[in-house]
Amino acid sequence: MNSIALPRERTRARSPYVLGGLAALLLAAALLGLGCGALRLGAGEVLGALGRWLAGRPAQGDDMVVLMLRLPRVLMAALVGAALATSGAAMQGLFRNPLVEPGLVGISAGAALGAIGMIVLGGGLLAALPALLGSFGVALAAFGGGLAATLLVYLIGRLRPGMATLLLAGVAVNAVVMAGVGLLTYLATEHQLRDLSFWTLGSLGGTDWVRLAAVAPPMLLPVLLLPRQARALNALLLGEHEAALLGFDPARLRRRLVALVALATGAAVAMCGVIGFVGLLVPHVLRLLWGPDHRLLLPASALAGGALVIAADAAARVAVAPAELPIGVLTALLGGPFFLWLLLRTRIGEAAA
Amino acid sequence: MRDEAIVSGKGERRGVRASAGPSSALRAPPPGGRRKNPRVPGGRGENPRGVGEGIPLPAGESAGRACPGPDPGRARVRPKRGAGHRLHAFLATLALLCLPALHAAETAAPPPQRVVALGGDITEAVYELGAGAALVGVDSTSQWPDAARKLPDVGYVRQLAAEGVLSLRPSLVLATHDAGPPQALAQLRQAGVRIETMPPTRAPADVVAKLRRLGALLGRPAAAERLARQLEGEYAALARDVAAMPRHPRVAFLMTAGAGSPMAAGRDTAADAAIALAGGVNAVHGYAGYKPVSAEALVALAPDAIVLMRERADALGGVDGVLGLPGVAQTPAGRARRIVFVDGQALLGFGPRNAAQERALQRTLAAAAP
Repeated sequence: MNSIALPRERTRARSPYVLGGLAALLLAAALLGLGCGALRLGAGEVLGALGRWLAGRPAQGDDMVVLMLRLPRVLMAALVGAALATSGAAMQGLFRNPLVEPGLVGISAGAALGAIGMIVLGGGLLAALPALLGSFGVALAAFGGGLAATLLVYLIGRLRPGMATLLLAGVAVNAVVMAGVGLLTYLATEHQLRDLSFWTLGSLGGTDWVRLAAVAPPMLLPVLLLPRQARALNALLLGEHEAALLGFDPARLRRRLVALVALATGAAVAMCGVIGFVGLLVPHVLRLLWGPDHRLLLPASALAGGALVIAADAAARVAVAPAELPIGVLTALLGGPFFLWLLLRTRIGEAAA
Repeated sequence: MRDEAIVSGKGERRGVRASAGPSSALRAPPPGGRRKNPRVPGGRGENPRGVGEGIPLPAGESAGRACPGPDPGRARVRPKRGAGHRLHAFLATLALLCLPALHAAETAAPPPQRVVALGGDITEAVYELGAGAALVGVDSTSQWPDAARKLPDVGYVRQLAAEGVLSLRPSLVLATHDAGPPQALAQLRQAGVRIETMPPTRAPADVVAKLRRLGALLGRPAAAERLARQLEGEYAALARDVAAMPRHPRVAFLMTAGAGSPMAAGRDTAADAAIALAGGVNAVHGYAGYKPVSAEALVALAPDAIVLMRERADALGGVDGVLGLPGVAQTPAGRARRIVFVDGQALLGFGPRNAAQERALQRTLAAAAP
């Protein structure tokens, strides 16, 4: 069951350097994200726009593109990446399995059902609202669906002790929810199908300050609170029984983690659709590089996840400009081979040693 | 889908108001106030459907539109004041109404320099109106004419990226009714881009009204009027031909076929409207939208003709390929080899090429009637 190795003591000493380096990487990615886009803007213009904004001077020229389109989008990408990667790290720690991702406890599938239900069946409801509020309706439904599915998985998983029940409940609920998605897909019209398929590929398009402000709290809170569970997660690596002997209540830990992860992932998926692979890949890569100590792994995942999603979103905006690629395609396309390379390199290294 | 038909009255009303523009404009500002950027919301209109779907415009209405009106917001730019202004206004109105060419030359706005067209039907219309040179970008559904495919593509029309459109520096964005997402359009408006959204069209009157409105927006009212009249003539001829059909054959429109069960068009689809206009009866009336139908269901529908998109003809292996699909050979259409390929975008886009396509389909269906 326990396929994540135990942390070694030396990680502790170098964690400030690692986190500092990753923070620098995040900042570099943010600058890249601000500098890239369909509209060709020089570095001077971008920095000038930021400077004028910070100094409170009136915007000029294309400042609006940087301040109203790119900046909220970069911040959203950072938050979404951090939320997904930290959630992934926490879930992998909770299940002591590096192949787990946040979607396992039903969040992504539940959110998909909520969003698709709103797209397909909520037509009348959405038509009654102004168009802009209507697009929030899909996000709200997705958020609600994600939380509901997770709650269901958690309640079923609690019926019997141990993580295995939680995991199997997740698999079963996922299957049922996906059947609902399939049924709604059948009911959908041509246009709804297109909306649906784009939603499942994820996109940060349409991010503005209002949307950012709406989803920032539910994503930021778990990203800040999850690292507080690092010691408990480390203890859990020894086994549930051992963790309990060390004074950590596995049931309470599970409840907290599932709630925080549901909040963060639910909000991220609700606003930006399904952005695959970040929650699985980032913590896994970091663990391969610097070991499984959650005191380092959780904050490092937040920083690296943010940087990855910012970079992927920048690529998505530039690759087929003036159109945009769905970001989920890029995270999987870039992440998959890199992951494989890292995995093979490490395993081959181990075999040779 | 449901409210698309309802909104159709809107474009028509605008057309009528525009032609009434000059008289009211010279006396007082029109009640609508400044309408430089009328925002037509996605699919909700308060007006009932315009007169006569599927029937050519009544003569009176066509005459009323003979003078292409200027944008009401523009006509007010030169209000005449002074003694006897009422008489002057009256005479001026008469002159304007009777001299469309002069009138157009006087008030036509300078044509917009950089236009982005979002929607296959809109791009077709821009080219047909001779304004193709002003186009700087299109969406991915704009596949006709070939020149449109060489322009920068801003992606799928319902998944637009604000910055992508902005990077083309458009002075005017002409958008189909379902362009989106709404927040991208809001961001574009916030950036000062002028976006004109066209109402959905599935009836001849709406197709023609859309064309006139596009002509006015592109500063080409005369070209729009010529094309509109030609289309009105075509639709009138179509209506006559349809009325002369002794029997209206049952038609199944298969959107996709080949892999899995074919997707047949039900009620409330563009294909349903196109079939009805061409004098056919949609064999599918049990559901709305596009849904997969089993081979058995296809036999039970008993279509006299099966219509498919020409874009898919090669992949399907032509008529013989379609006849080889499960169930097709057992339908009346299959037994008589009445498999019809139509140009999907031209027919279902309900743009300027729709009329010719409808007439071609009508001729095929008329010949098909046993």
